[in-house]
Amino acid sequence: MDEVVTNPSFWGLALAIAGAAFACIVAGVGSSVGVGTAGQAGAGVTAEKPELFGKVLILEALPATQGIYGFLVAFLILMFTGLLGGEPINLTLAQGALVGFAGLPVGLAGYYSGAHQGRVSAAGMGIIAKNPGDMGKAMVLSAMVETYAVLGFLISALIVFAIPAIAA
Amino acid sequence: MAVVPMQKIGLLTHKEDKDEILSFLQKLGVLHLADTTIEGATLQAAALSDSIHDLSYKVAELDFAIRFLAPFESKKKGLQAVVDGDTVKCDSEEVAELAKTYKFKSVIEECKKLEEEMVELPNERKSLADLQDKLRPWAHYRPKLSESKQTETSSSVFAVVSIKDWEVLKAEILDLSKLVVLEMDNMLLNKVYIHVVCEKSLVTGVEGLVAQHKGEILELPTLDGTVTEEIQRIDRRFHEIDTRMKELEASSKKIAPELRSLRIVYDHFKWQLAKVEADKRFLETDSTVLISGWAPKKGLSKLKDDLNGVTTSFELMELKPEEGESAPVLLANKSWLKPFEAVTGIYGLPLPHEMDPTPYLAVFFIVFFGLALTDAVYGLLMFAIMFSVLRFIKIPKDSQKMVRLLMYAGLVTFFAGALFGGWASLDASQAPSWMTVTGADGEPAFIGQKINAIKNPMSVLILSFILGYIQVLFGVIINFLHKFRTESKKYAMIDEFPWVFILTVIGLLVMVSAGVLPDFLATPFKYLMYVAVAGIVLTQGREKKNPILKFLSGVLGLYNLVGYLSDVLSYSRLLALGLATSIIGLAVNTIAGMVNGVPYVGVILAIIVLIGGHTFNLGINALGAFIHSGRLQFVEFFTKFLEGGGRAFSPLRRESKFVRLEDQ
Repeated sequence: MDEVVTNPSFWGLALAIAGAAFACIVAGVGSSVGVGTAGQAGAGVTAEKPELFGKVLILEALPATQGIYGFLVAFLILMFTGLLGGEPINLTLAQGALVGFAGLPVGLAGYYSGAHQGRVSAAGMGIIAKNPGDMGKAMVLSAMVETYAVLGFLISALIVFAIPAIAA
Repeated sequence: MAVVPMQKIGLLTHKEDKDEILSFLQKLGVLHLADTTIEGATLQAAALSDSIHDLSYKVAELDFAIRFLAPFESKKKGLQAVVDGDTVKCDSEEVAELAKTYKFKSVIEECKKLEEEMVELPNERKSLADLQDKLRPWAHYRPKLSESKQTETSSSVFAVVSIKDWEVLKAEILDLSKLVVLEMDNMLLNKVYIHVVCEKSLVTGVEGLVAQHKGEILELPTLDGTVTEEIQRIDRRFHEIDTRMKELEASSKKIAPELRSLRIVYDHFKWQLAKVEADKRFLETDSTVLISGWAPKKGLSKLKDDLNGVTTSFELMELKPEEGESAPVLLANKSWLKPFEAVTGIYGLPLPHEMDPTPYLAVFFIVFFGLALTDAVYGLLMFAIMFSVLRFIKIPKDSQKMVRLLMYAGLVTFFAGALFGGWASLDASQAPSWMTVTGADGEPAFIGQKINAIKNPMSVLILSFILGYIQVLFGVIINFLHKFRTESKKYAMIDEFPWVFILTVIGLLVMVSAGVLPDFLATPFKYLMYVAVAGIVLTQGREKKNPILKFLSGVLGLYNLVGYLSDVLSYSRLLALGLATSIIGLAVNTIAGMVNGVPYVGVILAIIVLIGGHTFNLGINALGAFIHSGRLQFVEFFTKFLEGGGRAFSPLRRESKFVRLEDQ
């Protein structure tokens, strides 16, 4: 058993890639749901007041950040494990698991935060439809939800930055 | 510098001067009208409703004409035109002149006529097109459509069936009797249009068969000519309609230059409307009127002087506000701070007795923005773009604040980027050699770079916390000072000072344990901490009567420390946002490096990726930096000393939709 865990094998790398995939997929799904929700509400506002399209677009784009954070963590994992350069480093099962777990914080926090930020953005569409001057308020309300994705991303990124130390 | 002190005033004057005084006040824009709740006002409102109705009608009609003509306006090109939009430049005299002489009614009538026809003609075209579609399958039907479709003994049946049922149906119909003749079967797409002539008694039989095969009995429309003639006639009418539409568009284009005047009178009547609606709120007697409202205290004597130029028979009184009535809020700041009012504006205004947070948040906001973006190249770009916008394009005053703010922010971002070595996410080893120096560790680093955020994120995290601590402590201190100065000195000392004290001591303790301050201070600071805790426990239960409850709510008061801690931790987002910028940039650079390997077009692809990617990165992260830096002000900073919710000072003034007055 010990040997399986400590010997460098493709399983280690596979776990790292699984973490990258998880971060990118789950955070991306969260953002897709969020942007979708906000976009539907935004289309309603645009139909009534086409001149607000610019503001609607910005509000719709706010829940998109989670997907970007997920992508970034995935990208960093691929880069630090050498997959981007085509020369993957050797990882033991345990090292791979360490790297792979880096995908969880940004993935899960990104999913829930993205989906819910979308709802707040959608509700914010009502604010700008009634009073375009209150755009800033709608944005801040929506950005409150993003906080937790930011924190998840922060932890994920900090773990990924430790990869060279882990792999050494 | 702060919230402008307001004074409630009453202006008593003769009725005949009312209109002139109102116009004058409107032009000046210094009086925020007070809400009146006096019953007499409703009576007067009824008397005024006629002129309000009249003005609203004019405004609505002008609005219609402007909307109708706007698409026919010849558009100017260029950025400036985009910024100007529909607005027109003119001076007050021109407005007054046009309002008197301009015959806008005839223009409106003309627009109405044009619009009516332009709505009617497409409708006609549509119904004709439907008719033509109906006629087209019967092109082989020779007789005139006006002729009767039956004789004494025979009758015609017109129907349409699906092509796959036709062969069976045809056989069945012809089998019916010898007195049935199939005049025509015209196949079109997957349908067959049939014309059957039969003995009158057989009509029901034929129709029954058609129905059995899911066909549909049709009636040919009663028209003058034959089918072919009618189709041609409709085509000719189409042509006429098209020509007429072009004529109409041409004549609309011809009156489109009237838009300028229309827009000016539109605003003029809007101003009149605002004035009459203001009039509704004033108290009147038979010969006098009392105009009441709020004006900045400072401007009062000047207002008095200026009013003397309009009429001499008036009395300006300083009134006491009614109970529960609060003054409107206007912020006034030095010109370099003005742009930051845009940030305060997002949150809302402070209450009249509170402080204007603008000067306090300015430095923090801009520094946090810079840290959240942290890229010298992006910073320079932002600065350059905003600078040229201000320099070369005339933009409305309100938007100027934001542009100027982003210009400052660009500059700070440049320095923050240089400090952290963020140059479009390049690694120091990839940068041209004149930009880099060899660091102490032998690795190349950018000139001016002090910290490498990717290699050493902890130091940036700690820096974020330090900044957070400073801002939170600053918020608590200004709250204390403000309450100390303006409210009760005693209660400020009891309620607010213990927090200033304990937060300071905690800061000092952390500094000792981090080795910033010498170790021997640890013991005295520890005792100070005990004092601070005791201070909180003893003071925070002040409002409770029961001594046990007093003590308990004092202890519970300590729980607020958790709030302060989470506030400080919230500043970690600065690191995360800064990292996001540099990592997205890194991703863009890496992808550009990959496509660069494509033969022949590689360089072009790489340039496209670089430009598109970095533009996207700048856009999304500048937006993120702005809202998150703003959020740190609103949620972590404002809550320490600000309640907010003040009503904005919105004086009676010439609110323009189109007109940009040059002489104001």
